Amino acid sequence: MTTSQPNRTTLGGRLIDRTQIKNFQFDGRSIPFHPGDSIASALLASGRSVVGRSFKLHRPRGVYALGADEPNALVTTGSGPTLTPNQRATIIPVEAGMRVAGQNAWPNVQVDLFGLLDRVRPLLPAGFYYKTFMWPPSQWLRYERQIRKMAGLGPPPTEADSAKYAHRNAHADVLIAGGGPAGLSAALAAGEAGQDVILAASGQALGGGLLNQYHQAQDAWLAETITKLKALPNVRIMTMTTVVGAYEHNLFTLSERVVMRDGRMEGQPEERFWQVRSQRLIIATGGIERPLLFGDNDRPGVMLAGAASGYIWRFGVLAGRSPIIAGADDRIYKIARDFIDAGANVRAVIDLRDDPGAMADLLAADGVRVERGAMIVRAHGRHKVRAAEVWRISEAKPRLLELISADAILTTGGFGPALQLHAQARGKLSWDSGLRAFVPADNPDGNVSIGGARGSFNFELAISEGANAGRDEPLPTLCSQQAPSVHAPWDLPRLSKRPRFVDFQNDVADKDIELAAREGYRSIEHVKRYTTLGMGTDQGRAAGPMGLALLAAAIGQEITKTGVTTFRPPTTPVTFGAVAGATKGELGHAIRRTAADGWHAAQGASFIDAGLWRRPRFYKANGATVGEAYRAEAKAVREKGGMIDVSTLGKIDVQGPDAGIFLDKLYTNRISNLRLGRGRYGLMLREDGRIFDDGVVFRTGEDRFHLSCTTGGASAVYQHIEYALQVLWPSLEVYVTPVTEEWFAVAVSGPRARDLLTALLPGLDVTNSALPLMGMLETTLFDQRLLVMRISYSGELSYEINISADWGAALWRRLSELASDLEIIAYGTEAMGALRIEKGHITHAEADGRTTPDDVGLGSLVDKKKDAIGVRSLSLPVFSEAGRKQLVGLVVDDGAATLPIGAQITVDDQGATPRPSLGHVTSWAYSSELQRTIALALIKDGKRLIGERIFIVSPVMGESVAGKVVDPVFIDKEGSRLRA
Amino acid sequence: MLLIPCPHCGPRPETEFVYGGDARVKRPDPENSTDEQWTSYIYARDNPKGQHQELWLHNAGCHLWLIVERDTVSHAIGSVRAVREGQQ
Repeated sequence: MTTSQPNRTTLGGRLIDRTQIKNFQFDGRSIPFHPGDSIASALLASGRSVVGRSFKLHRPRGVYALGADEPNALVTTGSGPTLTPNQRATIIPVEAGMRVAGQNAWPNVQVDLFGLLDRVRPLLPAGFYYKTFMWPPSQWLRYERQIRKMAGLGPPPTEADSAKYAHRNAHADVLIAGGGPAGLSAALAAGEAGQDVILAASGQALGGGLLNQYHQAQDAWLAETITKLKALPNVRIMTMTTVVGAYEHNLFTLSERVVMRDGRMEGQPEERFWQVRSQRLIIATGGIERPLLFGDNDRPGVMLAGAASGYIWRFGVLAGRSPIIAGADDRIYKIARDFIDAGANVRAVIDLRDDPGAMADLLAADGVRVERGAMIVRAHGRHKVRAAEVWRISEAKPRLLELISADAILTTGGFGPALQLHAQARGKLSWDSGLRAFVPADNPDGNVSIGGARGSFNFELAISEGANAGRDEPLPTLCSQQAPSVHAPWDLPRLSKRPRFVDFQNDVADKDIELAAREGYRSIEHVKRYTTLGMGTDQGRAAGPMGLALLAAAIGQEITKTGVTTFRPPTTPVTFGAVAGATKGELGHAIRRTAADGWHAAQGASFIDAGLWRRPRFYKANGATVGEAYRAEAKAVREKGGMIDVSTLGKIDVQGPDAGIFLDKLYTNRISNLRLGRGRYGLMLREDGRIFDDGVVFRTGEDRFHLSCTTGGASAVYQHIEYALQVLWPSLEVYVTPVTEEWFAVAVSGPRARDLLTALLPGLDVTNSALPLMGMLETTLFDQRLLVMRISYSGELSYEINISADWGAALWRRLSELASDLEIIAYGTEAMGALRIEKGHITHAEADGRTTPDDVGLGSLVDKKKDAIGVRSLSLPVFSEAGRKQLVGLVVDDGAATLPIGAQITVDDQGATPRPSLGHVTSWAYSSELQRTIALALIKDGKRLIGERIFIVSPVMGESVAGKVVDPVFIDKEGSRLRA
Repeated sequence: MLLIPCPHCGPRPETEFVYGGDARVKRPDPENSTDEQWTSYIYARDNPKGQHQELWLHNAGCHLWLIVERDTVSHAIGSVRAVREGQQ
């Protein structure tokens, strides 16, 4: 033994490689370890007692448990891009060179000046922050910032995570959660029966609880079973893997930590997140050891007794050289012998039972002090246990026996089943009065709990239940457990004024729960949220049952009536990165690019997301800022001409003998009477009468139509159309195909648009008579079908030119070459927005899911003589009542003012507040043509208010702009330009 | 996550589907329905405990609208058929 590992013992240590010693860093100090150590075992071996600070009171805390139930030893690993906070030191294997830091302390966990908070602990009961800092209410945000600084877990990473994570999918006949005797036995039985088996064990080694002890026969069984399992090709064994979620139809999620003893390979993920669809789940997650309740039971050195023996047999680490062991079942004598064999000086064994029997007598005969009918009342020592106050409680009046000095207090309140997966699978629970624990009461969806997870804390029971479950045979009836000789670990007299902690991580003591009960809390769900009981990273594994029992006692209720809190996935914390996997950055947010995207990028386009697409918002050559650029672009379109990539608009091909009739049902206006080669602007409503989408429909054949819809609405429109066809009018013979990606489309607008079209298609007659507004020509370019539709969004003479997407880049390039002679420029969505606002054309800002055609001035598009989706609703009285918001235009007194974001409209900006809002600005822009700021707004009875003065205000920003209500069409009301 | 047996594509995860609400709701004749009947069609929905018939669109698959029998308590799925079947 090196001197820097004072607590390493030669006994046990089955998981570590004693031949090698490596080093890692804890709070800047080098700590030696053997490969196979967890962070916790290495820290314990080095004699480190304080490894963390509690959440609220900053009390010093040490390692308490062995696995996922660890409430105290939370650490931060790595730094910069590898920084990961709130890792449980008990389950993270140490790697050489690893950097580990304690957390929630300043300057460090050993000193921590915030520890002063503990001095005022009586002033900080449950709900303290809610009660104290809510006045005045406006100051809460300020208080909260300070409180968060003091109360918290590890620091959030500030850099992007550099680790790799992977997703995996698998199918299985049987998924087994847990690598202890029950799980192994089930895996063997299922595997030998030819089933596809996945065995997920959360530790590095198989064996579960068998690894925490020495037992010749059971160890032999373990070795033999592992050998047999490894020989079965249909059994997949996954270590460091935890089943974290159970979902509908037997989908399970697994979190796998990839451990590399000799360094990580390039590209190797740190964690894999599995989704496994399995016919059956066998829950063999074992039991959770419960703490005992006594004063200052959270001091470093107080530890679960079962966990303490686990540290000996797994890691060769002594949690104490002179420990006191306390509990109420025979395991404490076995654990005492483990410690004696490992060289410890066991100071005393404290048994709650008056008459524990032979094991106690035998140990006492070997000269170990055994106190029967006694309990620990309080731990002494602050940064490290120094002594335990032991009281006799078997007599009428409890009395102090002795203050027994010790460097560790190892306690156990027995085990309760790990119910997380059973409960997540919506299994029912029943109360086992022998175990004093909730146990599974059914097999939800055929998913069965076995072994400790069922309440069978016995090797023989566990392996026989495993064999039955593996073969899908019924389990033996749960053996009636021995009579409840166990003192309930929570039902102990309070003989010390010191706090008795229930939830260590969140500093919830028994008094907090009693206080919540006195204040009227009855539901455990409410008590949980009020006191934060069980809300830490350990998910209340140990605290939950005790909290329930204390609440039940405090309100004088049966524990079965109190019930349990809802178990939700994940059962143990999972890194966000693992859940995201590779779906981050561009893979997380796929970008759809139009055929001309390369040109846009090369010409310095600034892009904006539109649905899943990216579109040029403006071209930087036209202005240094978006504001400058869009004004220049819009001006160019109105004066000469512009071209814009409109490929992202949704396009749907509708064919069939009933296509016309069908479209009459989709659009408020009539489509069936369109002549061949003609188009019409149409509105679609939801069945409740609100505008759903808009676009232009062209008749491209006798039985064929080409629909366009908005970029963002394309997929919902397609679903809507399929619904109308398949569900509402299935007798119609119509075939619908989304074809957005098949086409590239460019809109050419402005006074010189026809010149550009002629240059592109010399010899083609594109005069008003050959190609009038809402007309269409079909021709060829590059030997490809080319559709030219004369439609206008900008209000100018405008053509939309469509070609196969494969030829889109070529078409755009050709057009841009021809355009330069005509001084026609490419423009982006920002200018397009300004142009359409000048024309009062609506977009999703106005068709916001609440407005009807009438509201936005498109009532004339509703043909009430036919049935179309949503039209019936328009005759409901609510849509003709006064007070509906209507689309209007706004101008402002200060011509070029910018309008506040989220602006509301009021009649006045003086006098008492709150002033009623008449409506809001939906879109605004600076009009290059009018040389002033214009806006569209939805205002209550807006049409009646045209000419009235209003204020455009933002109470949040403290801004106010005076203006006037006007008609929403700002330029060319007659539409002479688009007919030019 | 539900596993929905699409009659055309086979068993597929819920994420491929779009939920379409209660399949038993029928669109009334707009000409011969009172405002009450019409608004009930649009807004009023049962929230049954147990057996339910639901519309699901296999959006990332065959694009069929399906009628799925689902138990709202156990999530057990009974029959699944295309809406079109039996209507034409």
